[in-house]
Amino acid sequence: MTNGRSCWKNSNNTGDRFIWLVLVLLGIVTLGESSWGQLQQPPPQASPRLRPVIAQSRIDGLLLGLDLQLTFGAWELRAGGAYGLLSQAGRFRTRIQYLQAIGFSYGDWPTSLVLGRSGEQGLHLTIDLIALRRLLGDAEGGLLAEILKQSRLEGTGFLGRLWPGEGETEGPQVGYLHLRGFIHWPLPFGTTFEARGEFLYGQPEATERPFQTFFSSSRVWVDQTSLELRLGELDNPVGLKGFRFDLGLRSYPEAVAGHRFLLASLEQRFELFSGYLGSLDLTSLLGPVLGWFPVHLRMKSSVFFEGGLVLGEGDPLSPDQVLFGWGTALLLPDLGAQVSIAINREGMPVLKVEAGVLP
Amino acid sequence: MAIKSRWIALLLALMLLGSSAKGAAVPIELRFDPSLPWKTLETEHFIIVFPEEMRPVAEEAAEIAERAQEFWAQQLGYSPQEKTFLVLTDQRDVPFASTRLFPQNVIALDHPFGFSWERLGSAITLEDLIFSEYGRLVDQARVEGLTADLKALLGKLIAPGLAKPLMFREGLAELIASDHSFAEMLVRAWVQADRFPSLAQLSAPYAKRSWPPAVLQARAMGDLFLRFLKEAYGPEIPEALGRVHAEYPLATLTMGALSLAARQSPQEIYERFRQWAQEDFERLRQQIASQGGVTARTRRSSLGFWSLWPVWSPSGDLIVYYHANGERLSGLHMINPVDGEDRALLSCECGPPVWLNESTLLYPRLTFQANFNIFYDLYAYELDTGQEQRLTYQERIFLVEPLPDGRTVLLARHEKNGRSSLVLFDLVNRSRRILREFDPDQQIHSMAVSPDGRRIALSLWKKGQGLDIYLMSPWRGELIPLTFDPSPDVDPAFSRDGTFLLFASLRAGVFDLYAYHLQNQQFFRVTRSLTGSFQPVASPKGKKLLFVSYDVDGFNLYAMEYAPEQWSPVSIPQRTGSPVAAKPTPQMPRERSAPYDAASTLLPTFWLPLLGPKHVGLFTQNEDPLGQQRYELTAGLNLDSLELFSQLSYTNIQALPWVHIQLLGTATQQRQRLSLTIPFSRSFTSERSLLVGIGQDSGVSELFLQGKLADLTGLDLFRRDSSLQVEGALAWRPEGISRRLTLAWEEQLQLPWAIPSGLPQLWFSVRAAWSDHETFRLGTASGAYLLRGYEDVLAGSHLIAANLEYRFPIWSIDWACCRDNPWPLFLDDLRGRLFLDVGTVGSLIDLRQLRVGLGLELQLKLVLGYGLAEGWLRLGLAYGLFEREPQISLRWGPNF
Repeated sequence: MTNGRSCWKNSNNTGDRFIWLVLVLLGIVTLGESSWGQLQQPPPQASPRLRPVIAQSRIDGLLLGLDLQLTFGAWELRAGGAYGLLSQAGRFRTRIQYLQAIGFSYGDWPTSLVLGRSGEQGLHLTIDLIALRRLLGDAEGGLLAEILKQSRLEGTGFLGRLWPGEGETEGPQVGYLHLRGFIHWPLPFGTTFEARGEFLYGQPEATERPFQTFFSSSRVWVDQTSLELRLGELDNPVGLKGFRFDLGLRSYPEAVAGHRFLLASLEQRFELFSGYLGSLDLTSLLGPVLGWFPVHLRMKSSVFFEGGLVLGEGDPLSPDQVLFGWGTALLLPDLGAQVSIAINREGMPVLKVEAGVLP
Repeated sequence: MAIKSRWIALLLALMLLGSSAKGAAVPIELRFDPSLPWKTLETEHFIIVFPEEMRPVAEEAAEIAERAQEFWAQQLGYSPQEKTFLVLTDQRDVPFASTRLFPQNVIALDHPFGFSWERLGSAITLEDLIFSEYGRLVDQARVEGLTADLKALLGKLIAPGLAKPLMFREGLAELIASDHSFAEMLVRAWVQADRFPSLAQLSAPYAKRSWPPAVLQARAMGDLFLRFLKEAYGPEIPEALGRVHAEYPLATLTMGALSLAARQSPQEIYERFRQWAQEDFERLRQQIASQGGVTARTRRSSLGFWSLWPVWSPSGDLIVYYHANGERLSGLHMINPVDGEDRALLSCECGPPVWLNESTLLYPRLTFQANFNIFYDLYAYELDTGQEQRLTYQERIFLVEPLPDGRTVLLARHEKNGRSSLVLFDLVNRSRRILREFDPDQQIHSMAVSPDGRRIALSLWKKGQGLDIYLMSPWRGELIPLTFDPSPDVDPAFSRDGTFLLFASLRAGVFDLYAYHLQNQQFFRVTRSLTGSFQPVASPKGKKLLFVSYDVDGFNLYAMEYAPEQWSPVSIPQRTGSPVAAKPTPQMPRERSAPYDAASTLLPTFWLPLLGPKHVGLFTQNEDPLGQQRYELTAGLNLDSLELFSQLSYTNIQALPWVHIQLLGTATQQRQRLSLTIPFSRSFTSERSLLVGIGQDSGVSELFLQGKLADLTGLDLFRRDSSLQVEGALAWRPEGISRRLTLAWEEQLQLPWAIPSGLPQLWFSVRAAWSDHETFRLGTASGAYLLRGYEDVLAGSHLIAANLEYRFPIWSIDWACCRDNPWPLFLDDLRGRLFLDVGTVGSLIDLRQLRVGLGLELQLKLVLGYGLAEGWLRLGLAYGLFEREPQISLRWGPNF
């Protein structure tokens, strides 16, 4: 889905590519920290923590800012602000969370769980159902505990206003419920099953007709080989603008734009490089806690084959709705990024740079 | 008649030539680090090539090599006219020797200081290696009469000795070895189990599933068979065999050389040999019977092959050992002594493992380093988590023994220039303390630490003295000899109470276990074996003795009661007088050494005439002894157009990136291609390389980039080979720039269920190709894009093809025609494969136009002319969906 994912095609927009390059470089610095703990003892995670915000949105362009995190026992408080270079507008978000299970937030921020929307302003209530189950003391062992250890199930309720879509002067006032889950199930012989699903049910204030989406992805990993099946369906009787799937194939320049789709892909990855590049010592500038940035780099390459069907509402299946493609990619798991070159069934080569798409 | 023989001889020569050219077409295997300061020393018959730091070894080798030349010239009555390159290097922790005749005489010896594990208790000295490898070379290079004439004409292509039956090729060099115990052990086991191989099975290399591998089988049997021939038919027989093969190559193809040399039919001679071996075995059996019979023992492992280095866990609940077998991935195995369950623990090329504690194993593991070196390093494996951790980097640690404090281990480490050392290594703070250093004349074979940690026992090889057991303390490096006699003594191990030191020794014609009472200073014989016993280890509870013993399936783990009261006291004579002084190494004059110059070795060594209905020409190729530069050159005349044609291919890997140049010039086509290869990494389990190049073909320039990745994973019988090749290219044509992208992904799964005829495999491949100018062809039964079952071939600019095959063994035949007069036609294996091909090609990928073919293929593997050529006879039946008739194919060629 669109959340947490940014996608830049190989267009002539050098500005976008420049921004992406800046993001990659900054990302190496910031995200490198996440994998550091596996190899060396990291500096103690102390409260408060300050993290930079670097993001991109259609309306704001590049967003730069800071996130502050404070922890008081079981309570966690977050507050962040950012400035959009394109919109020249300030954005904010606040969140209070209890035991990482129940959170309440309010903000005006360039992300939304509604398809096609680049931001929203309002109140969120988020419940992590697995964490809540753990909180309630129901933590027996066995297979279920093994599966839940790396799984997530989260529900979110929202009341507020979506940012305006293209052609809109003001976004609609809506309320929605969103449920998403992720299951990671380790199986024998190095096989892993992963499934994720999302369901959204919303209603604009101006009408009683709901809009809804369902999306599911299942992937089986055997060592470095994966087979993934994605399917989705949406219902948009209210004509919410931009409410469409933005989930495509790597070999097609345009995202999938239909009401129903079924996509499958087969991918084999190969480890190319894995190593520690060095550390950026900015302790004199940011202090001993924040100023130490170890940088790792992992590179993989992959080969992939993909195909599927996309249907518009009420469309009979026609040949141009059958998709197929193949290609090869360079993956940077630390950055969640990949650069792929793919050929679709029409023979169109597509060079794609994507971030935030890797597990 | 004479004319007929000459024609047959010429046919044979061309056959040899084809075989040699095929072998040389294999891409260069980079073995020698080009960045080392390579030097040469030239003697009358040799050019010694070595890195500067190995100068002392090179000077010694030069002297040994000249003696070897003199010896073999006397023995065989032949000496090659051209000089032989003797390459010495130290890039491996496991000794390695290889010999090749083509295109130049090259003997390569890697780490020629220590031992071959294969021989278990035997030391292989530099002298042994040079004498045996040079003998092999002379024997194979020998030409007489017609073959000498052909060699004068065509050069090094002619080597009739390469067509000798494998047993004679491998056996001759073994004949002069000082120790034949390994060959005797193998032959006794065959006699005991009544599993004598047939003469045909000793004649050619073939895919053999049971122990031992075909080459090892031929080497062991050839060693004893030639000894038998000398005894039974006269000492001149080995030389006569070589002469007959060199003079009458045709005799090779029918074992006729043996008849000509020994004046008896091959089968009669072989039958006499079998009786000779049985009598030898019977003598040993009676000798052991008179001493009380073979010691009672229970087999504890079943995999055979190389099942070595057993160790009990501290509680005695588990046994871990190392297992290597061509069919299985090498690695550590674990046995539950109660129920005998044997399971693979991890895949590795390991040295002897030890237990640090109940859940941690330590072991040396071989790894590739910097693309050239294959060195041991210390690793740890946690049984609880299944995690492996590397503890050292590039330290060449080949033995490890834990001390009782639980945090210190004793390491044996290879140093530079053949030196080795004993090091105390603290696992907690990773500090190291060198306990003792040994010079190259002393090599550590095996070692043990006493339960109280106060004694170290070493099996140490000393030049001129052989392998003996020594004691030393962890605090002082002084060596106290325990055995000091000509018999090799190896594999020391302390009993759990520290009273006895157990070891293996070759004293009564067979390796057996012995014990030494450390207080009483009394020796005991622990086992009496018909084939051999090695590597003893006492159980933690002190009730069992575990060891490795040889049987007809290979090396297996055996157990017996630990009962010192049943051991027979023996006296071990100590060598009298002073130790034999090592022979001083003669110093070669300094001015005769020079920097290695690859280019000076590249003059052509042969010319192969190319004759066709429309052309005549010549082909040659050469490669320098270190494999740094290589070329192939073809030049000729087109008889139709009377235009010259030429083709040159040149590779240089002296520095990164490797350079490859191809030039082709004909009347109608001019093609040039320059490519640079960067080998990113190479290991036992993976390969990464990138190739970038430019080319020009008939006015079209091209820039191309190729990436290659390959991975091997698996455990024990299960094995997965994955590979990916991607190529992208840009071509500048008169009408504009065109692009090409091709991709090939292959997976081969060896399925872990063994049946008597072999292991089944699942093979899967997906290939795709795209170009905005070129076309690709789909629908052939061979080539890059397979689609079997269709008569026509489709072409298009967009292609996708997938193949799935189930490959299954049917019958491991191992049979040659005919028993009384063996032919050079050996039927090796019969296999089958079921396949499913799917693909489409066109101006766009239209999945509705997919073609589907399926079928069955039977493959018969044939070995011709004693290993000169081997190939598969393939009969296939393929059916394309919606096609009227199935396609039947019958082909001969290499497998794919």
